[in-house]
This record gives sequence, structure tokens and C-alpha cells, in this order.
Amino acid sequence: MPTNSRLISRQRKPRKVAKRLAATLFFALFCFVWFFPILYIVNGSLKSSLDWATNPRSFFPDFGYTLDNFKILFVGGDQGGIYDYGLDAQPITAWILNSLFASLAHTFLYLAFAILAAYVFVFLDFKGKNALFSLLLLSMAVPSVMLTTPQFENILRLGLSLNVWSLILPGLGGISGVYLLRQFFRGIPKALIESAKIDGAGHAKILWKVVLPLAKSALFVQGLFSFMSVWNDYAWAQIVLGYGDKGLWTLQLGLTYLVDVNKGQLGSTGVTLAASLVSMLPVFIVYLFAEKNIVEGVAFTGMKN
Amino acid sequence: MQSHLKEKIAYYLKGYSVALLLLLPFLVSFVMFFVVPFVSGINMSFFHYNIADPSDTYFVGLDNYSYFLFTPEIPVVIGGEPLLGPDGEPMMVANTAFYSFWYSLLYTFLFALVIVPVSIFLPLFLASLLKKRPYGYRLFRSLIFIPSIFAVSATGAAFVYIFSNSEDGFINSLLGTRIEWLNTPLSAWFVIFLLCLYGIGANFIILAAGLENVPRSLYESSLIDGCNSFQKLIYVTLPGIKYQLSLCFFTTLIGYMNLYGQNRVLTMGGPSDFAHPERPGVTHTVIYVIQDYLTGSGKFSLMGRISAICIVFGLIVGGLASLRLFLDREKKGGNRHANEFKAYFEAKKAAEGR
Repeated sequence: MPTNSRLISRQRKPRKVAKRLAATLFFALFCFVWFFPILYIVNGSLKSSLDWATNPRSFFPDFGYTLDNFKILFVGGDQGGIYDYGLDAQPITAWILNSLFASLAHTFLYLAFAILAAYVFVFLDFKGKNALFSLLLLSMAVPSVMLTTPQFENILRLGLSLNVWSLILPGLGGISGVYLLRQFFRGIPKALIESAKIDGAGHAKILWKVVLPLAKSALFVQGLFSFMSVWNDYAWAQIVLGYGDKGLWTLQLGLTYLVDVNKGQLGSTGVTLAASLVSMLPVFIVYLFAEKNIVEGVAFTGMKN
Repeated sequence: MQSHLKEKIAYYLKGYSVALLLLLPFLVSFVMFFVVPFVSGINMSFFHYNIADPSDTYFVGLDNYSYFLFTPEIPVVIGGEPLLGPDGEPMMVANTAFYSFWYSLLYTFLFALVIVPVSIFLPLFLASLLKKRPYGYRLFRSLIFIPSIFAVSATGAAFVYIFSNSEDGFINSLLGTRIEWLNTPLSAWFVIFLLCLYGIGANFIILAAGLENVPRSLYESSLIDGCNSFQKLIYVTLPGIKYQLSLCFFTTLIGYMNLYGQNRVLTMGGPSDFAHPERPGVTHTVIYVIQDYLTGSGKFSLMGRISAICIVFGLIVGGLASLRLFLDREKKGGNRHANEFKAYFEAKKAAEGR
């Protein structure tokens, strides 16, 4: 029946192409609407205060694109100018530095702690290992809301009130990242470890030369999760830093504040959108550099168990 | 014999000491930032707990719980004395803590009822279309995923202006309407709903990967058996991604039990329910109420009461989460995940030609 099967495949091909084209068209339309708010932020942040105040209804600017909003955001506007709404200089540089420091410190510390813990749970043998891990896993069943209030009290008691470390430390006790890394480490063929041991490699060398290079996807995805959990956090930062001086805030606290105070003022729309773009950039850059690893890693979190 | 024992002990100690040393940083953090607050939270909930003034801290039993769970009315107190009405009875006033808790719980659940199914079916639909391999599907996949990595306050800013209450807002000027999007209960929830959709990225990636992994042979044999596309969906596709569906369902459900940021940025918990002033703003979720307490003026003196709310709501969320263990229990099998990753790992290695 070779002719027959060829016939089928010849018939099928144009149908498949048509299906692909239809899907392409759908995704193109869908993604345009889907991505519109992001486009709105980028476009709006490049529209001047004058444009926003006089011409709020049109998507495109009348007076051309400009970087003025970013300038106003970082160095303050021309005080008292007609269109300089809500432009008293905000400590946005401090917000960015606070956010960056907290996110990076948390990511770095958590990855270090979690890698060591996951290594122990996969490659070392001692009595009670599995019991200990199960015990730690139980903590995953405790919803985060249960800890909010006592964690705040804990932070105050540790003398970390209004301190940036109150954003870095609490997340270090989470088991989920250890669990994710452990799942990845378990997939590494034991033979590789054994042969490294025979070659005389110690724990440090095995971890550094064998395990970590193979678990790159997992490290990227856990790193991004950790980074995002602090960088994008609003609720916890609002509790521990919100009642303090503006200069202590994170970027998300400051951004939400800008959104609140500028809500009714058309002229400052562009500045607010510029701040929002600034807060999106770091995660976006990380994503661009590690896209493949991140998509793979997220997909894998759906493969485990 | 004794030296043998000594050797054995030394051997074990050595094994333990390396393990313990490497585990120490994590274990210390775990104790300090999980065990300690977990225990102290339960303890605190039985006290009138004033962190600013330790002398104002005393045991109150279950009062913190009954206060917001079962006390719709409280007496008016002025200067420490209950205010008496004309009939000599104490004057009563609605207890906002009671109404805040129950109504925010209601709003949270009603919204979850809408958003959770959509957060599964929309990404599932998109993922199944992605399987048709549209041209540039990697780009489309990224475009759909990317918004979910941004902070809600950042993307929310766009929604605040797009759905602005003013007639100059983007949608209002596009439609020529004057809808107060964020000031009307239903439309406010609608905009929150739209902003929540921006979080479907992870579900989308997980479901798309799940669909890719349904064995082709199953589809081929279903074709031979003469299945139509609906039967294919019911008998091949959905069972094939059962694990991913359950994962997405529960993480999404628990995620929306914690709904807060979207409402904070868009509506600030409002609009108020003018017909029922004792109730919270109509977009108050439970977390919103807790945040209100923890950022309000009473935060240092009311820790016990706030803790009690956290514990009750935590038990509700924990109960929902444990449903998953119950539903997934049949397929508890040793090393399935490890084996799966091994296969994935080897396939990847082969693909990269290493």
C-alpha cells in the first residue's frame, strides 16, 4: 500500500500548513491584546508630561517621544513647572538599591543554603536522613499566611525593625527550593558521582565540578524564583518597611505609592509608567539571558512527582 | 570488641558531622524563620499581646478567636466604661472585625470560584493551540509567559490608567463611555480578574510541557480505534496531563487564597459598601484585611488578635491544600520523578550530542 500512504501524506500536508497558519493568526491577534498593557507602559513612559496633560486620549504622542519622564524620575522635575505634577524628587535610587540588595542577597544566600542541603539529602548517607527530610517537607503544608504576624513579631524581636535584612532572612527557611534542587540532583546518574569519588574528589569538588554544572537549569529557575520573590514582593515589604521613612522602601513600595498619589493627575502618568518600566527591567533582563533554562525549569516543576 | 565499637561510632560521627555541617545554614534558618514563628504564632493567638508594652500582655484564652468569628456586636466603650443607653443597657455597635473577616472570606471564595477555572482552561487552550506549532511559536510562548514574571504593582500601573475612572482613560475614550471601572463593585472585580490573568504564565508552560509529553503512540492508537477529537481529549489528553492539571489547580487555588497585590494597586480594597457601612470594601480579600491590621495603627498592640485571624484562615487554606494529598494519594510511587528526570536528562544530553 505504498501509494496509498503517500496519498494520505500528500493530502495531509496542506491541511497541516493551513492549521499552522490559523494558529499563527490566532496567536498574533491574541498576543497583541495580551501584550498591550506592556506596550502601553513602554509607550506611555516615553510620552512627555505635556503630552499626557494636553493629549491624554491619543495613544501616540503629539510632541514626539522623549526620555524626560526618566530624567524627572531620577533627578526631579523643574519644581513649580505647570506640567510637573507630583514630581517632587522621590528617593527612587534608594528604592532601586534597596530592592537590588535585598533580592540579590536573598537569592545568593538561599541558593547557597539550598544547594548544600539538597546535596546532603541526595548524595550523603546517614541514619534518619529520610525522616528528617519528611519532617522538613511537612512545613510546606503550613500556608504562608499563618506565619505573617508572628514573623513580623520575630523580626521586631531580632532587632531588625525597618531593616532591609527583614526582607532577606525570613525566606531562607523555605523548603520548596531545597525540594526543587533535590528533585534535579536525584536525576543525576549516581555513576558519575561514584567515578568522581574514585578519582579522589572530595565533596567540594563533586559539588562544584559534577553536580552544579548538570543542574544549571534548576539553579537558574530557583535563582529567578528567589530573586522574584523579593524583587516583586509588596505585601511583606509593606508590613516591615511601609511604616518607615520613604528612603528605606523598596521599589515596589515606592512604585505603588507613585501610582496612588498620581492617580488623578494626567500629567504625571508618564512618570509613573516610567517607574513601572524601571521595576520590570531587571527581571526582564534576567529572563532574556536565561530564557531556555527558565522555561525548561518551570516545565520541569510540572514533571516532578 | 571495644575498639570495633569505637570505630563504628567514629565512622557514624564522621558521616553525621559532614552532613550536619553542610545542613547547618539551612537548618538554622529553618528553625529561626519557620519553627519559631510557627510556635509563637499559635502561642500569641491566646494572648492579648502587646509587643510595644510587655506589661500589657495577658492570657485571654479563646477570646481573640471568638472576637472576630462569633461577635457581630460589641459594646461602645468610652474612657474604659461601657456607654449605657437610655434603657440602662450598654449601647452596642457593629464589630467591624467580625464583618471584615466573614465578608472578605466570602469575596475571596467567590472570586476564586471564577478565576481558578479560567486560570486552568485558558492556558490549557493556549497550550493545545501551541501544539499545532504556529510559526514563531517560541516567540508566542515567551510573550504569553513574560507578563507573569513582572510585579503586580508594575503591570497594575498600566491597568490603573487603561481602566481609569476618568473619561480620558484609555478604554473610556476608546469606547466613548464614562464608566467608573474601579469604583463599581462588578467592574472593579472585572479589572482585578484581567490583571490576575497576567499570572497564568507558569500554568501555561507547565501544561504545554505536559501536552508535549503525552505519548504520540496513544494518539495513534486512539486514531485506529476511531476516536473523534472529543473522545481523544477525554480519554487520551486529559488523563495524560492529570498530574500537571492537579498541580496547576492547587497552586492556583492557594495562590488566589492569598490574593492581595492586584486589589491593593487597582482598587485599594474599595469601593466601600455604602448600604452596609459595617462591611469592608467590596474588593477586600482576607489577606487584605490582615494587611490592613498589620500596617494599621494597632499593629503592635493587637498581635494576638491578628495572629488568630491568620491561624483560622491558614487552617482553611491548609485544608484545601491537603485535599491534594487525598486526591493524589493513589499514585504514590517511589522514584517516579527521579526516573522521569533521568530520562529527560539523557534525552537532553543526546540532543546536545555530548
